[in-house]
Amino acid sequence: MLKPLVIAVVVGAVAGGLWCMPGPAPQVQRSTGIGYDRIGAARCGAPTKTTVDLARDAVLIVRAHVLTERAVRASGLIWSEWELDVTETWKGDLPDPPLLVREPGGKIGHVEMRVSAGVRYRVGDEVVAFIVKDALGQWRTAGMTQGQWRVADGRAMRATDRGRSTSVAALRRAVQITNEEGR
Amino acid sequence: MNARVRPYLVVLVAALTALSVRAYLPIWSGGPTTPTPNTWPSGASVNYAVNDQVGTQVIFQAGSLVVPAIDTAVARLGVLSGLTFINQGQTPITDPAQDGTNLLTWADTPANQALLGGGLGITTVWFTNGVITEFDVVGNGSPNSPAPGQGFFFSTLGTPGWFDVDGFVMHEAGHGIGMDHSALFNASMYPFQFAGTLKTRLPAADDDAGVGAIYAQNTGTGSVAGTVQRTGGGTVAGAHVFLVDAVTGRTRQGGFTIGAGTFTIDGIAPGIYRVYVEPVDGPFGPANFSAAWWNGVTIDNTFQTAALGGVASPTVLKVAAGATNSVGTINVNGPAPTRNMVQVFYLSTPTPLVNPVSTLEQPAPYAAWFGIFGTGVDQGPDSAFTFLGPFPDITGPSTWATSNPGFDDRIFPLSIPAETPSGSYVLQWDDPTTGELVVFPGCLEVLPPATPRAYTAPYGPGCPGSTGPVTLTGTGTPSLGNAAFSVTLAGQLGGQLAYFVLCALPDHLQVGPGCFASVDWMTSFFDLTAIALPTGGGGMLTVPFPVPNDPALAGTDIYAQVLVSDPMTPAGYALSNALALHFE
Repeated sequence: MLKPLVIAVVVGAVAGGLWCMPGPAPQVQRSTGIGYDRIGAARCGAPTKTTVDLARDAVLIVRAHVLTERAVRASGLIWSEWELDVTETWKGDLPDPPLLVREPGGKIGHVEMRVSAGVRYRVGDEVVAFIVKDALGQWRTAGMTQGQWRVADGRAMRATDRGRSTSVAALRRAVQITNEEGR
Repeated sequence: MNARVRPYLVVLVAALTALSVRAYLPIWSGGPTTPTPNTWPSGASVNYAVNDQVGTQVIFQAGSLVVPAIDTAVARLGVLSGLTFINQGQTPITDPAQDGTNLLTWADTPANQALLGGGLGITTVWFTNGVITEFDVVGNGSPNSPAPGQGFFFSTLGTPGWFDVDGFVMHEAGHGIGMDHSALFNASMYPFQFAGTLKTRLPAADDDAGVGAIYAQNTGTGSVAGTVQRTGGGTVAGAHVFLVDAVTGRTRQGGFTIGAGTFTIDGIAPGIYRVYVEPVDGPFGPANFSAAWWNGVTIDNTFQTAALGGVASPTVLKVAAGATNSVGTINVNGPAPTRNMVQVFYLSTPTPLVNPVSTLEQPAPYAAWFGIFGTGVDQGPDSAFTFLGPFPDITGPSTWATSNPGFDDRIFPLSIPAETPSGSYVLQWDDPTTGELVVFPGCLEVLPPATPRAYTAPYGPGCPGSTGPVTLTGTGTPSLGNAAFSVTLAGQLGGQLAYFVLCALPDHLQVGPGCFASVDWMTSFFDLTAIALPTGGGGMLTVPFPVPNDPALAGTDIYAQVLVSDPMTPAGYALSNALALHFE
């Protein structure tokens, strides 16, 4: 009985210009017990995904330190590119280094290009990054801000987590479970 | 009396038409404490071109007039900003690039899909030293993105389930002229669009305010500035600060604190307001506040909603034209909220037996079953949920409340009375089980009616007389030509003198212990004239107030309050509540 309501809801918000809600065909996602994002909205695609969804979508999940940032021009746009120094690989086959993750927007000289929101990395941070390849073959963050956890003192937290962190061990375990289910 | 009021009202019409409202939500450069907006040059002509596939793709509803809708939307932004948008025609260019063409495209290409990341739309904005040089709007043109068979579909026909092209372009081209997102649910710059809704076509006060702020279009408006910090120290950045009209309960402008915990909201229409502060914790979340990513603002969203003066009795703040009201520090406290409201919806039944009608806004009047999603919304008493202001109302007990993994829901009967002014309203949830206050600004949008309606709205506390509160009410509506409209004074001591005060602006001026003047006597239309109250019937007095059928009055407001002599009170008088009269 409740399903139609469940279908309509989108909890939380994700970066990247204009999103939408609600849509006609999302599905209830089961909880991992991590964070509070337990509902997906497939109509709106990226806006809200569970950790399980993100883990399934990602082709690469790594724990890493952000080494460098630079802006590059590609496909007519400016992108920011971060080099990740990977310390653990939780999913996927790590490509030959360097691992370079790109997101749209950046500044070259006096010229700057922005998108209305988006995920950014900070040099020096330790992160857990859920990574996908986009249509241009670039490494990107899965679900934008949802796919990036900042790590401190053994705990991981995203911008969307309202100050509530989860242990890195629990996050890793959730990824492992998803990996095992996917085999 | 009316003959004397009329010339003042005519002057008032001219004054009001000169007003506009502004705020501050730019895409800025600089660090977390030094925001510098990026804009097109003042009065610039901005050429744009539309990809030549637009309108022919499968994602557009047949019969849609896409290019005219685009033209309409950007022209509307032109009016707000003073820019001139010129359609240069169609172009084979499919993808955004720094190529000198301001492009609007829905082309389904790998580059566009990479940029969209499965979203509905995105805008790239190029600027150099604070001057915007180009923007490109990309709509998702794939019927298979974000997932196979689950693409987005666009229309100009207002068809339920389709995304409105005009509203979409209002939002995205809004980025193109330098606007960032708004956290007010009703704004065109709100970061989510709903299929089937047309509300983003019309700029909300917050949109108007934001564009006007960065393009210096402010006239006849005021500002509110202050700081948000935690009790005992520690400034709070990334907090959403917004104003609520203390007369009608409508939301107006909002803004955010920046790195030093400071905020400035400008372009505010003269009036009286309450100021609220809420955490950016969804539905507008940290990911929608791009200053966090681009300007180093570290968002603190682990405090609970607060109000200037305290949530129990928020301060009513008078904003005057040309003035900046410094409200000092608004204190907030943790811990992070355990309650939140993230979505509202309408149903045709009191239980979720059918699909919700989504956020289908309508003009007043209407009644609906109104649902709320959020964390813990199924908990606590129904009475904890109220709409601010005298108009929209929850009219009965909840008919549905369930707890679900990750979210909860609750359904109420809702009534929007006929006299409800168009605009957006605030749902407040004052949860006694946790002591938390949660607000959802702009969650209820009432669209303008085909024919504007007059209304009256009581507001302000006044101060009681020796026989109790003195009430001022209207009978009928102040519609142009309504000879039967009247106001009634009741509750006062009989046999005394009453002084009716009609003013151009509201106020909230304490004139004695627990006693407030709720009209701005400096804008009074005429000298006080005493009216003798009857000795019988508790002194109740009905004063005819025939409204002239003068089109010059349409859309104007006056504010009335009555002072009644009362020798039995320490001050020697009582004040009625105030009554806003909106003429149409």
